[in-house]
Amino acid sequence: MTTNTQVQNSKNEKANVKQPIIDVDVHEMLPNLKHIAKYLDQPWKRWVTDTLWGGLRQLPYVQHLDGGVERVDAKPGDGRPAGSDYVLMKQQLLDEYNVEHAILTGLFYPSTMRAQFEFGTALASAYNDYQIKEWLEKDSRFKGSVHINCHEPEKAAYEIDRVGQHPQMVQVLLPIGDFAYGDPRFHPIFEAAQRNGLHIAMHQSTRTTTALDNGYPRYFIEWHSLLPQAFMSQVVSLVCNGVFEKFPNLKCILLEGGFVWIPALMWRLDHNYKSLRREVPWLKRMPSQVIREHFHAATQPIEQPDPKEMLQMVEMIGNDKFLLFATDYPHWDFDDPNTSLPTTFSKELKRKILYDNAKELYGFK
Amino acid sequence: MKHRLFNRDELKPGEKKVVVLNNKSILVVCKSEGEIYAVRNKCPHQGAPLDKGSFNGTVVCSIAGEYKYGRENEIIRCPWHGFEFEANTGCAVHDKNDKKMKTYPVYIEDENVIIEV
Repeated sequence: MTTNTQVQNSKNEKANVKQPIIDVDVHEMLPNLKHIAKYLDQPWKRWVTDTLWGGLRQLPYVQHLDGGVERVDAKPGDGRPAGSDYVLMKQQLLDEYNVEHAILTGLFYPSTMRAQFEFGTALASAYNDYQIKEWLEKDSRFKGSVHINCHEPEKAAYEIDRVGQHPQMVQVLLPIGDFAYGDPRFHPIFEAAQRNGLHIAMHQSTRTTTALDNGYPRYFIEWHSLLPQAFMSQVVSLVCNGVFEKFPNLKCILLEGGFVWIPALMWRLDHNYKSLRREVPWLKRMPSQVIREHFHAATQPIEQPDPKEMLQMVEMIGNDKFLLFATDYPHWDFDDPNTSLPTTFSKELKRKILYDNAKELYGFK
Repeated sequence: MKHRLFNRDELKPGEKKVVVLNNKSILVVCKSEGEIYAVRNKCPHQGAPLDKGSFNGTVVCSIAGEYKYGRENEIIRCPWHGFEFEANTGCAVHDKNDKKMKTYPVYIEDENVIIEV
């Protein structure tokens, strides 16, 4: 039997997620570069409006997927970048997936600058004002990240004190670059974060480098696959420089670096600590214990090996509160909360990852 | 069960359409005159709507450093993670043994495009 069929518009047929989720990595975007000028004082305002300034550092790669760095279907369609339209974000993310809280992480990182750091500090401050006015105040589900220019740590601390008490701010965002955050010159930032009851989140950036050839290998697939190198470096730097001994209330959330490398790093650090402890006598706990107690990692982009093996990796971390779910909306390697977690994760573990762990960590009511 | 979708002239080479049958969204694509394929409009990876992605060719395997574009109108590409699938077999280009798109038999009968679902 043959039936006639009307051609219809496609519709996303995913079942609504009843489980509310907390998404710890959502990228709100400026509608265009010059928009930041609205939040800058002189002389910086004219540096943006009257010059050929092309914005912050770019990667030396074409991100060659159909949408570039963006999900094709997340583009507003009017030339603005994906993530710049609140209504579309609300529809495609907040309402679609029952997101109770979305932690905004932006993608405008003055810490990636290599010069004119005073300008960078002004940009960070302007961005925080933009984030508060045009995102946080629009929807109480949003939580914010304090952006800073890490190359002026004292001024960064001042900025954290300035906006860190906003009721929706939950963390300080540190872009990962080719500099070690454990170095004492950065400690005023951690001090200010702890003073304001904020966590630290580390996110990959255009200044995240790999181990070879000036930091940027020949192909984008190499760079993207090697991002964990930089995350490992920062974890080791924070642990071995005693950041969590100095600032015991601080937690650090790793965003977009993955997590399956955590067990191996813990083993290696512990192994070396047993022999080399006297070089870092301020480190009073086994490094693996410091990592378990002071770090968390976002799940995105989650790999998909044999599901049994993925469960084993998670169990090897040794803390079922360690992982926090992230979509990374609106980027191309977005993880869907309905389909990205392995089938071997129990309902309880999924709930922890999707919701409970972040709720407890950030103290959401 | 067979369903008539549309007249064969309504889908030209390189074009795609979405139909909904039995509550399922199905992506129909045309490789060339008379060569039409239909797949479930849902990426087997994480369920993204494939109609929002592209349908064209890809860079085929070659020697290191060499780029050859080919397989025009054969490849469906996911709008999220960029996974590429062969429209005719449903297989992933990166690994034929990985998860496939669900495919449906399609044929032309008296100028009508017919699908079996």
